[in-house]
Amino acid sequence: MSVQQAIREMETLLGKERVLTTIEDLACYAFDATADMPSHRPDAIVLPQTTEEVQAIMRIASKHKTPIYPRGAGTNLSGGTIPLKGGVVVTFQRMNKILEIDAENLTATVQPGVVIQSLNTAVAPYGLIYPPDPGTVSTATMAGSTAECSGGLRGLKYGVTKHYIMGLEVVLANGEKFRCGGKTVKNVTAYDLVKLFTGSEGTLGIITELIVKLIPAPESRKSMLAIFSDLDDAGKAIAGIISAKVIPATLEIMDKTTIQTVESFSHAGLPTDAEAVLLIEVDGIPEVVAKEAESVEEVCKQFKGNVRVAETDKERDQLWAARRAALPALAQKSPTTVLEDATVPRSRIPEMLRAIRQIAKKYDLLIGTFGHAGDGNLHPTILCDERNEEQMKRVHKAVDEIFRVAVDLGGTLSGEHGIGMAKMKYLEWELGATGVDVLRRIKEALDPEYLLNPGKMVAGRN
Amino acid sequence: MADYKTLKKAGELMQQCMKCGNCQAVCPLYMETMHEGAVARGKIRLAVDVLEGRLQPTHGLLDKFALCLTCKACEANCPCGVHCVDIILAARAQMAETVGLPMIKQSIFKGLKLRRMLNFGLKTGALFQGVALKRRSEGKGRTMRVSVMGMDVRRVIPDLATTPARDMFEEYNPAHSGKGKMRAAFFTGCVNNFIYTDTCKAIVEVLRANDVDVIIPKAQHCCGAPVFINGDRNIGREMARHNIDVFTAADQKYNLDHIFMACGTCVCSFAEHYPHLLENDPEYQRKAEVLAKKTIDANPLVIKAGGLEKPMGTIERSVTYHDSCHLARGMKVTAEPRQILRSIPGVKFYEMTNPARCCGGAGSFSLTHYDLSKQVTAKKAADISQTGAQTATTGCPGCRMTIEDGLAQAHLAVDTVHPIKLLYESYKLSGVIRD
Ligand SMILES: Cc1cc2nc3c(=O)[nH]c(=O)nc-3n(C[C@H](O)[C@H](O)[C@H](O)COP(=O)(O)OP(=O)(O)OC[C@H]3O[C@@H](n4cnc5c(N)ncnc54)[C@H](O)[C@@H]3O)c2cc1C
Ligand code: SF4
Ligand code: SF4
Ligand code: SF4
Repeated sequence: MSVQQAIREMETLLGKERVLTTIEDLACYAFDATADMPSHRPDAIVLPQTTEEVQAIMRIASKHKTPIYPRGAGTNLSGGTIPLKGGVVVTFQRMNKILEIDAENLTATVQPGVVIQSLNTAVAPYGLIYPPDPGTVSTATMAGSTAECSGGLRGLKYGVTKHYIMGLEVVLANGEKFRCGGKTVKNVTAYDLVKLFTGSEGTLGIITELIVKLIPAPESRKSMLAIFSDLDDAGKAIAGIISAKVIPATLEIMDKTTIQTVESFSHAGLPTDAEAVLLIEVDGIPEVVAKEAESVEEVCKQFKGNVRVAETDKERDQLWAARRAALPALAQKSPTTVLEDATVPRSRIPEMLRAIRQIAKKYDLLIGTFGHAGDGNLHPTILCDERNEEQMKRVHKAVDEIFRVAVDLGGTLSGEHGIGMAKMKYLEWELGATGVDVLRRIKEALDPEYLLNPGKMVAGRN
Repeated sequence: MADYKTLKKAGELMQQCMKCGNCQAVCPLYMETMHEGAVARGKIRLAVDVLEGRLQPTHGLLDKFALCLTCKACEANCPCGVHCVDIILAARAQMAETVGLPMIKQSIFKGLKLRRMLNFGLKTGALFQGVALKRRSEGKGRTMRVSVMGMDVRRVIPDLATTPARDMFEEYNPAHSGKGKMRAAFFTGCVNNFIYTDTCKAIVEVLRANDVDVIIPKAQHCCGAPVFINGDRNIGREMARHNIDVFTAADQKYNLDHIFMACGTCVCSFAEHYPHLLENDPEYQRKAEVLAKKTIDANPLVIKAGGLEKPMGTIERSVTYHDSCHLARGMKVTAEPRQILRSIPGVKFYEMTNPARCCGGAGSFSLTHYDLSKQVTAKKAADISQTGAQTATTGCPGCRMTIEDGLAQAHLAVDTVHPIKLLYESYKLSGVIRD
């Protein structure tokens, strides 16, 4: 078999220690963090250490037409690393060096497997930060989060991963490599290829090096919690804060189901009769922070919000612990947690929340919704049990409807988790048939054999 | 805790894992190997695959489950509160019972089971260690001339005591004042008994100086943890029953307030594992629970007995402390040893980074996976060395042995002792204890 031949050649290249083929190892890479996904074992897992090795791997793969699945920490939520069609998983955890911190140009150059938090720890002594902060900062890799264009809690003010990727080294399906972008703030040379590969979910090329932008760490911050007994009031408060010319670093929302679940899980002192709570943090220069916090408090009160301001670090940690507990608390309530990331324009959040509630009722499901209200990125979370077939049918219908509503409200299928295999079938709703065809043409220009992460984002022509 | 149930019973625990991967951030074995199969998420997945028939029990699979330090770092960092170690132990037991443990482990465990054999073997070992072991030119300990019990020959292992701790004392050791206010029985564990007799001596005398009558039942045996943690529940149960008999008898005879240990693993055996291990044996389970309630680590016991209120002499020394996984995450003992160290005049305490990260020893793990274990230990040695401390303390003899090896491999001249050993020295200087 040619896959086996390819694996043998990779063994010669990397040595047996860096090519895993026992059935137990294969089983460990058949899945990622995504719930309710088919799983599939790869034929091998390889652990390269240099760009040259990655090139050689790709040359072997194209010779034998072996599917290749790039993988970081495997924490994505769209089935993006599942080796659906068999073949070889290439994992980058051993390419995890920070190559350079250039404090003068505010950049860092890193290998693909560097964990986001390690980069932040390394740049902290320079008073700098790398802002993208998905919930998985302490595990997710730089290339994985770049290929997924991850967001996080600070998206509203600081943007998402694509705003921080300045340059890339990429290995193509045929084993050739090239560089795009660089350390300059301005760069309009030709097409914006850096942006093309950012968010490409491992389907166009393999990222082997990244130049990223750093920014000065904010000097101070202030957090507060606002409790609302009416959903529309919460929505008005979100709009009101932005109208008051305040852009909080974070502006998070939790709905009633989430509040009740978090409260029974961690007793954080949340009011279980509230319809929604907002968690808000402003950061920056102390004087500005004080002024902005005041404005936020005023706006929330104006819309009948009950505001609690964290006065100490400990109180701040308590507030955020409640937000961090949202997903685990929901996950504890049921064996399977289907987490979506439908996103709508900020002004449509109350409508979206209400629609989700109706869908939950219609399909008799428990759905908790929380998320990044400031940027309209919501996480409706369906609590279910994948062993219950009848229930899962209802879940799938509910998911379909949630995406339909999101697109109808002028929103998008995915705010930050990516398309992967989970959302492929909805692509036409947002992009139309022509848009989907553009994806296909780009894919085929770079990877005509569909060797890179097949079965994700772009369906083949069959 | 619900360990040692069958894998099936652990099935519900597995369902709680949402596959988020957070455990990667803290698993010491993942940090070294970067293999999904080394981290809790991967091992839980393997267990699920076995349960659902997608994987057959094999030695290969048992090897995967063996790849765990049982340090519980994953559990402490798991947002869903998954009992990863329980799942892994259940899987090991199920695998071992289906396919059998590898020969090498089988023969070691059979040897451990026989108390007289073990005692005799290790006592004669102390006399003949010169034959098999090379004394190292620098510092303490020896390396092996030939591989013993499958141990790696590069490993630096400490000298065996010529007189084991339990032979140094009577069964009944009254308080120095003759007016005991508390009675406590000492389960020494084998490492302390055969190697770190200094720890045993210090703890016994410190307690006696604080009006505690110390009882050392002579027939006690290895707690069995190395056996049942590796999946051999049957031999593990036999060893548990033996110790339960011995300490129940001591309790009847002396009316004990406490049973104490100076080993993270032993204390967990009595406090949590025995009752679970014996859940199908109501009579012994009941006895085990009585003993579990009285079980305490030596550090909190010394504080409870008033050990920090005695006059203390000054010891000018910089000291750091390593948290044993089982003491810190199993027994939640972290504050007490530090409190002891900080209350000794002259001692300057320096916290190392990640004091509760596993040292890499994990009992027989370091025997079977020496290279991997050594890498984890090297990180610990580096963390210790960064504090600049002259002395590294830890509440567990297993950790101490591992750390001594790590320090020796890195050519670091740092002393290692149990925290109470320093208190003992300080008592001697103040005259609370006289030789
Ligand atoms: C509890 C939890 C919370 C989360 N919170 C957030 C959040 O707040 N915001 C958010 O945006 N996401 C979030 N996520 C999703 C996930 O953490 C991110 O998508 C993460 O950035 C993925 O990083 P990774 O290293 O795990 O990548 P992986 O999952 O391993 O891979 C992700 C994609 O990148 C590709 N890839 C990996 N390496 C390369 C490479 N070298 N070259 C090319 N392609 C590559 C893969 O093929 C795959 O398509 C969360 C996930 C969990 C489990
Ligand atoms: S064990 Fe806990 S931390 Fe690890 S993947 Fe499962 S839920 Fe996440
Ligand atoms: S117990 Fe320790 S070694 Fe075992 S999986 Fe958890 S973190 Fe890793
Ligand atoms: S845990 Fe270790 S030291 Fe304690 S009795 Fe068992 S083997 Fe001996």
